Amino acid sequence: MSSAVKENHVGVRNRRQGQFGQVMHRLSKNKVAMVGLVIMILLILMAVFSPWITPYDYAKTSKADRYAGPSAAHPFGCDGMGRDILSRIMYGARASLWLGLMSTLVATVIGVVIGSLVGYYGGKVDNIVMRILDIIQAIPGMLLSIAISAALGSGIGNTILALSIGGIPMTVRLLRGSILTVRKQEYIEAAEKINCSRFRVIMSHILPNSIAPVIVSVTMGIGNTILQAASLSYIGLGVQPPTPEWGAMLSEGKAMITKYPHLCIFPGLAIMVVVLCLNMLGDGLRDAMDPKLKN
Amino acid sequence: MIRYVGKRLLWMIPVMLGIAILIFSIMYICPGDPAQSLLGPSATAVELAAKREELGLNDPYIVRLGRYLYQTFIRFDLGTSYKFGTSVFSGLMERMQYTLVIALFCMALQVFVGTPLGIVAATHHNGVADRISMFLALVGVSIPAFWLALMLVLIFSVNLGWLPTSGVANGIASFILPCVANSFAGIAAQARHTRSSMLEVIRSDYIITAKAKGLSQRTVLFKHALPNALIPIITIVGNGMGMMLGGTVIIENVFAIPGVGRYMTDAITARDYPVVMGGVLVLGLIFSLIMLLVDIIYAFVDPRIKAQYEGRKGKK
Repeated sequence: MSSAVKENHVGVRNRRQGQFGQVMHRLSKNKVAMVGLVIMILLILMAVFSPWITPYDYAKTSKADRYAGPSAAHPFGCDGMGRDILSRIMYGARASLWLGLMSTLVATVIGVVIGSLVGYYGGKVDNIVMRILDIIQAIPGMLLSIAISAALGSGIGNTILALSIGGIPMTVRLLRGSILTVRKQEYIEAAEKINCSRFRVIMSHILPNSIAPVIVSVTMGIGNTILQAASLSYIGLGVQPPTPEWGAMLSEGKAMITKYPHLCIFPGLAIMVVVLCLNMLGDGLRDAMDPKLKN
Repeated sequence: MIRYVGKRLLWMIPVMLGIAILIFSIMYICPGDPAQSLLGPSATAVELAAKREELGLNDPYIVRLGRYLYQTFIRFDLGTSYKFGTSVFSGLMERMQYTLVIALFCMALQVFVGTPLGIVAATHHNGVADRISMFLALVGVSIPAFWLALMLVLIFSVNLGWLPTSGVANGIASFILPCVANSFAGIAAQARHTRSSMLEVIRSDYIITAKAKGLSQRTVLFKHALPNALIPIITIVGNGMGMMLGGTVIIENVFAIPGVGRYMTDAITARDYPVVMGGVLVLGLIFSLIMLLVDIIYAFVDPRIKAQYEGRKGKK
């Protein structure tokens, strides 16, 4: 990364490591963030290997175990069709994590492309694009996701699209704002003057120096998107039963909540743990990227 | 200032037009046939075709869009619900009271619980109070509102029997759980932002000066620190309102509250497009007005921003 970055940061113990190395070093000293990171990695491994490690088949029904409460054989109990809830939660991590990661990724990639173009070129295009984003942002995010999700229909792919569209304006705004402060710096002018192509100026000079706020907001955004995805599934849009997704499981269980609360308690706890870990990690990353903010 | 507000209000017209076009287009590509869901599965093909013709569903996109925009923006009519056959506008207004009560009450909770929590955390930086309130706030922003709602129902309605599980029949008691569940994340976010904004201000030189001249902790906090930390705090309040309006849609479903959110989600299932479009437009308008209000409040809090609005005339 360019050397200008290092000098911009305060309190950097610079031992010839890149900016990335410094951030990781500071992050590794943050215990809370590390706990979040470790649990998150374990959860991702669990999601990836779930077909092989779940105690039961997630789709296997059993009449004898209908609504069985938590026991040694089924730690989280069984649902209305006698399916093991622990196995369903483990397998459901795939859908829930995938939804959160992919929607945020899609929103970020599109947001970064648009943001860097309008931030760099400015002018009329910037004006038009920002006004269009104003319109999208004037609709409360959840409402927009609900409407798009209804229009596209259920399913994981469509839900990803529905969730990501609402996230684009924020990324664009963040990146554009931070590019505008970088844009007039001497090193950008220098790069332009030595005939770097525009693509190169954006990719290797502007973006590395302005992407930090986006990275922080992405980490926080994944958690938020998982919450939104679960809410969508809960009201019957988004991912639908029998796909084991945490929000959908809650939606299935809500009718019987008074009699069999374990149907709802555990999927909700799973959502909370994941989002909590992501937020812990996000907080740590924010502090590591901008030591000025750390108190 | 007035000119600025006027400009912003005028700018709202193209924004509302944009929202109308956007939401109309989304509904246009929506699968499913309103005629079918209106007449039920037993309807014959002829009946369906007649109904579609009657609702104007056979016209091309641009004609329907033009008709919708004309009807909405020239005649100020949000149309008629396919399902109920009543005016969408009056349907929304009937239900708006519930949604607004929840959203405003949540806002109040967020401001009057979240902000003090954040201030306490900042003044006891790294102390026990800070640690506890920040841990709670972290949990708060991570908890799914609808799940929290279910758990609250489980504890306070099913097990303890103190509060009603759903509906609006019990007056204020019916709104306690929905409001608490819906505002929990907002309170947490408010506390977190207030804390970091206050911490930034507390370390500035003028606060040290104020302390050095022997002012009481109280005066330093409320006269010097808080006003300077207010801008980011107000921003969060504005954003929170958007979250609340979206959040009530979910919460109304959990608690079976007949508000705008439930009206709209029911309409989505029934393919009752005018209701969905009308609801999005009205909520978008409310949201835009709140954002304008936030910008106006900025001017009152920060004279520098006010000076910007007033242009060359300069300071107040």
